[in-house]
Amino acid sequence: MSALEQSGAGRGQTVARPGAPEGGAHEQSATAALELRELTVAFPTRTGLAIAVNGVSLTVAPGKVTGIVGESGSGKTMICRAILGLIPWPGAILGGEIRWRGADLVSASRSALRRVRGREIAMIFQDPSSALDPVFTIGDQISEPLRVHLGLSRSAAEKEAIELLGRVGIPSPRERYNAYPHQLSGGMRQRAMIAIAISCKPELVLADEPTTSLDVTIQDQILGLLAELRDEYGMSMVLVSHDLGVVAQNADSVAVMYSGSVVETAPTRAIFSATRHPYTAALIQALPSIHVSEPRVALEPIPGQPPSLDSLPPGCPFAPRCRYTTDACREVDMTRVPVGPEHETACPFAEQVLAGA
Amino acid sequence: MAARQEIVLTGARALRRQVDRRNRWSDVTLWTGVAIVAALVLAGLLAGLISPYAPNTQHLTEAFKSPSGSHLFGTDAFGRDVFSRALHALKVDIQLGIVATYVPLVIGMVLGAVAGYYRGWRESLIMRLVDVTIALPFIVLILAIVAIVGPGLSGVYIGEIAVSWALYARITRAEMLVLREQQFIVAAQALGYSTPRILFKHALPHLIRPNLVFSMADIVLNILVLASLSFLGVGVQPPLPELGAIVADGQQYLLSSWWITTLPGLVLVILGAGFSLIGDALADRFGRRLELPR
Repeated sequence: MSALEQSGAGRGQTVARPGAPEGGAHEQSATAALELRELTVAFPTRTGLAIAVNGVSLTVAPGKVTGIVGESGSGKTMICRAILGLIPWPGAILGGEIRWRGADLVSASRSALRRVRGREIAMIFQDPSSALDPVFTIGDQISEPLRVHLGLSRSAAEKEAIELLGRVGIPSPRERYNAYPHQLSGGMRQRAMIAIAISCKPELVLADEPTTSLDVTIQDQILGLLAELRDEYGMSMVLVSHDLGVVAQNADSVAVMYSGSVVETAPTRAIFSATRHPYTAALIQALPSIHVSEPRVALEPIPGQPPSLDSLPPGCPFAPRCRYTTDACREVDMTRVPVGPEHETACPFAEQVLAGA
Repeated sequence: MAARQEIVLTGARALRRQVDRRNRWSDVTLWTGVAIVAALVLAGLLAGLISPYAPNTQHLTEAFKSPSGSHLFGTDAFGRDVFSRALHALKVDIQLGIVATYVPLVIGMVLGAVAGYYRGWRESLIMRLVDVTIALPFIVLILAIVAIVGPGLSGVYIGEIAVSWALYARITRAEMLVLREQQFIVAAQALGYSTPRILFKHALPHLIRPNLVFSMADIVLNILVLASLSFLGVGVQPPLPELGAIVADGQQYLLSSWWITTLPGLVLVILGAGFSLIGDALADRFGRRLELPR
């Protein structure tokens, strides 16, 4: 039995990875609310170890929205769950650090993590219809964290919960307090979910594809609401999406993920205006444009499939699908190099090959 | 256009009638079961008041009387009134049925929920224990435990509780495995709730239904096991009345005095049928009951 299989329910167990930095003298940089260092998450499978998150380093600036984009299976959700120590069994965090308030969440005790969850870092889930418990009213579910974490009395929690329901834009909150999740529309459910997440005024909200299950008009309202709340409460936010457009409109900076690795990080504007990774460039080329005046350009899909996570190719994982691939790509170690202000890419050849683009 | 609408409406009406019929049938089943069980439970509880004779008083001159107005179920070899004995026996049987079902239900649910939620070594330990318990035939294992504890009612209680938690643990673990992957459980974890809170407040309401449905069948089984053990002579010890024991007492006179065996046996059958009807109706309701919007 490997150590991986023994991990508990709440969080993956930490297994020291050879070569991973040992905890201790690492100071958290002052400009980051949350800092991931070389975070590695893996799942044992029948065919080997699937590396879901492959040595990801990332910072979330205080009061800012950090977008994470990538296709399904690129590790976006696993990063969120790793931050809260909620890697599903039998996965585990193999190495790395998650610096939060000067402490490392990876090596934090179960009880220390529980104090962080909900109170300091809250999460908004992709599908509110399954993330809300069907047997309790939404009022109950919003009051619960208030009572558990803030110690409010039943009546005080109810008053506060009704206020929160109003704050997230649910009409006649007093009546909705006693509604069950199935009695609300998808958009209303997501609003209720957001009310639960912000109930204890967390410093960081992890929004895991908060609008994916909603239709486009509702998407916009929900994202608007999140932006308002962030300003009002001064929260930092991680906005995970597979939709480059959603991230472009709502994030201050963007991290692009591919097969468990972050391939490029940049301020949102720079990711479009000065793309410095072939994968990001390919993503942007696959986006339809709504500007009629522009000459018609055919959308370019990215050929092929992402590699299987249990048999990642050596070097750059995007190399097999990249149009600029050379033999040297197999030697790339995916460490990001700076290419501009707050702009880093994992592709050492990017400036060369994308210079004209 | 109108014709097509008519066809749709007719179809909808027919479908609704069908569904209504089935729902009504499930209601009938449920309330018949409840009525039977309630009547027998009441009869058992009030046995001391309503039974015409003391259950253990012997009247050797009155032995082997066939059923009549003064002895509804006749009398046995010692001249005891079988009806009075059956009434007192009901209390013993139902009490065991309920205790030996719901104590293991609680134990099994807690262990099953822990196994399914934590996985890992806790799951291995609990589920291997379940496997061992289930691998041996139910009655043999209880017999073995009764042999250790000693015959008598308390031996049967201990034996049944020690054995029947295993099925509840297995049911609950299976449900918990599905449940723990549900987003609302992950959401509860992400909100920093304690494990007992997640297990008992958030998971429990979703785990209780299948266990309740199964418990109705289990009550019948547990009562029958008690009756069987008494029949075999290791359950309830004479002169305490118990349905299985009464049947066992009467079997040697089956050909001459059929009532001693048959009538208490019939009570046992009706009791079992009552619980089974409730179980069926509950399974129907919790599982497949259809409702159409009005």
